Amino acid sequence: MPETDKSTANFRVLVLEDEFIIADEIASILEDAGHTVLGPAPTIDGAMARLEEDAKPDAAIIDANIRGDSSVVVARRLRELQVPFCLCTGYRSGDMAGEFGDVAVIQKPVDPADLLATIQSLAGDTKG
Amino acid sequence: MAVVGLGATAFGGWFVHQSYQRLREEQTAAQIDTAATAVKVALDRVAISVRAVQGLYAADAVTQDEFDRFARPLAGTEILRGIGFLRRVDNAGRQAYEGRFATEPAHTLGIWETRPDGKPERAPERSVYFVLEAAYLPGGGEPAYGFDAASDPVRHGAIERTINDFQLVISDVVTLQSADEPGVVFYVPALDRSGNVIGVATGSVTVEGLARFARLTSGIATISVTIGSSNNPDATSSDLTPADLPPNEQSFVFGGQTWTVRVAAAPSTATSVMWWAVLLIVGAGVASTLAVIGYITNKSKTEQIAEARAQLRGMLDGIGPLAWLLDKDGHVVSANRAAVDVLDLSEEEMTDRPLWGLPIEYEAPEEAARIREAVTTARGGEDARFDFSLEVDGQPRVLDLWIRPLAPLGGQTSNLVATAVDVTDRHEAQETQRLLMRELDHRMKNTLQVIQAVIRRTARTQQSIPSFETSLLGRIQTMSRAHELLAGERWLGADIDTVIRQEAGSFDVGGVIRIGGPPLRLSPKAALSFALVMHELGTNASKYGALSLPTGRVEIGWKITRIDGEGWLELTWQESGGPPVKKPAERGFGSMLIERSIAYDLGGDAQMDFHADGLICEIRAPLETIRPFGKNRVSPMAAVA
Repeated sequence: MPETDKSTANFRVLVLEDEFIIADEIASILEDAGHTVLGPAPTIDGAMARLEEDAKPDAAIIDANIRGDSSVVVARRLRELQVPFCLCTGYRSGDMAGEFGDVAVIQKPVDPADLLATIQSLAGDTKG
Repeated sequence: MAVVGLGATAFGGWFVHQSYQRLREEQTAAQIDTAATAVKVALDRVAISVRAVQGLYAADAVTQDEFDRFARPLAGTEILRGIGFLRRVDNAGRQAYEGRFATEPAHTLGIWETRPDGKPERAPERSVYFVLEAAYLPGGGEPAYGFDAASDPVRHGAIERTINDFQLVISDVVTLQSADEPGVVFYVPALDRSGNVIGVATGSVTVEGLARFARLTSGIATISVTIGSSNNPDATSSDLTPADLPPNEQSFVFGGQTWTVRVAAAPSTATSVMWWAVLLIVGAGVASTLAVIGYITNKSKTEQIAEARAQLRGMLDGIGPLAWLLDKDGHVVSANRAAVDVLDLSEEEMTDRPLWGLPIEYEAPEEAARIREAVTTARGGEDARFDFSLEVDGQPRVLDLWIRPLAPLGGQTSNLVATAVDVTDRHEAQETQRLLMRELDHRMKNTLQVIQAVIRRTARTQQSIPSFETSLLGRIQTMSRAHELLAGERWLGADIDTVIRQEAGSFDVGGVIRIGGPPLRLSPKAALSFALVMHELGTNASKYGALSLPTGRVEIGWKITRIDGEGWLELTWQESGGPPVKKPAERGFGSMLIERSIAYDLGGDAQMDFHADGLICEIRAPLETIRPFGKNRVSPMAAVA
């Protein structure tokens, strides 16, 4: 598949997703476009540990529902650290009201071009 | 007296009618959600098939025979009218390309289009043609090979959009060639290995076919579907928030088109039943009132009045809703039999107590305060109505409570009437259905994502069409078998024994696989993981391992162990009697899937030991992550919102 996005920026992106095949797919889309993937982390604890140990990522993609639990703690921590992030979910929009109603949502199945454009706009905003 | 009697009767009839109106509205709202989801699921199914064709062409050139074999299982749904591939041919390449057609009219005309009178004619010169090269029509019939989709402005526009935007585009309504019926065409661009656009993958459905599928899957017989007619052409995704849509309609955008789903306002059987109830109450009320008037005009006697009261009381006791007569401060004067039965309190236990002070278990302390407030509202001359929750014998119940003032002959409020309908079952059914549809929708999306990833991975690693085909279909069938199993269990989980037997059994041609271990329930996610891993191990064994020779044997066993106080599942796949084992030089997608998905998805590990006598794969996973949650878990951010 061709990479339509020609931007050369290289971002460090934290990925939180509990399903291996999907995590692997998202990571490969990002890596093919030249980004560096932190993780992918399969659990909320794993993602939190990454945030404590590693240097701050430029952006994050988090699945809203990890092994049946809400990943809201990760979302809150990202907000504290001022890391821009988007939610990746199979749930229809409208379920994300309230605290994170203004966060960008990427619907599964993920469209590679959409994913890359979202990361670009999230991380690009803070970097430049 | 006549006025009070007839008034109360009219009120009773009106009350039942109002309750029914409200029930109707709630049913309609629940139905339209279900209906819209069913239509989305139908659209998703078509989109999956078209994307699979996209994946097929990413792997290599495809012959019509190969296409047929590939498309047949994909198209085995109620919905698809046709599925195919349109080759992008430029004018310079036209002549060379036209030689390939063996069927008419393309054999004679080359690339062709349809004249206004419906006859085929040779397509005039264009810079680019989109020619139907391969197609499969599940309902039978001859595909229009050689037809140039670029000759139709509607189709051409949609094809250009899908190539430019690089995403799924659904055409406006066209007359489908295969069906002679109005329908829409799905398009996604097809690329070769180097990323060049070689054409578009396409699938068609009739609008009626979509609606029919949605009716079948949802059980709602009155679903209808229309496309377009939205005043919001810029919307790109997700649901619109239609402030001005009637409650029995919902719109959303899919594939660049606005879809409007409609259901009829209410089921007709319920209507007639409800009207009977209204007539019965009104009839009984009029009869009793006339009887009372009769007695009174015959000069009232105490017994006659008592008898008339008994009749009215009998009527109140005969109705299903709970009813109380209250004094104007909200203290219970009398209660009907339904109130006694549902609350499990005697009438004496209720009499003289305020309605908010009955000895019952409220779900929350605020409930009593709300009832008190409602009494104040009613005493002020207005109706108060709300659902309130309580517990009876430890079981939660929901009552639709209504308190109204009773002002005989237009005078001061002398009493209040409280009635309540037990709506617990309806609440539960609605809640269960909502959760189930939500969960289904979510799973569907996740599955689509997995299939998309599997298609891309498989296309990258397989070198030839037949092996791509086998690998991809094998994986998709594994997922679909596991889904079927889980759907039968309402997505609550599955037994490990069933999962392993179902998947490993599909490789067990000679009865050489032995399976055994203690019973254990798996969560849906763990069941899918184990099914996929079994599939990859089985595939590997059939190609290179024990299942490739008649002498080969496979033993699959599992046990529960304790490590540091935590329960773990240990599962072993052991091959023997096969050809001598060599460790493969290169890791395929399959072995990566085995080793990494167990670790990643379930927090366990999997080790493949290429032992000389046969492959041994040892899998461990903590019980905590593989057991079902027990209840339907409600999701994500909604919980904190």
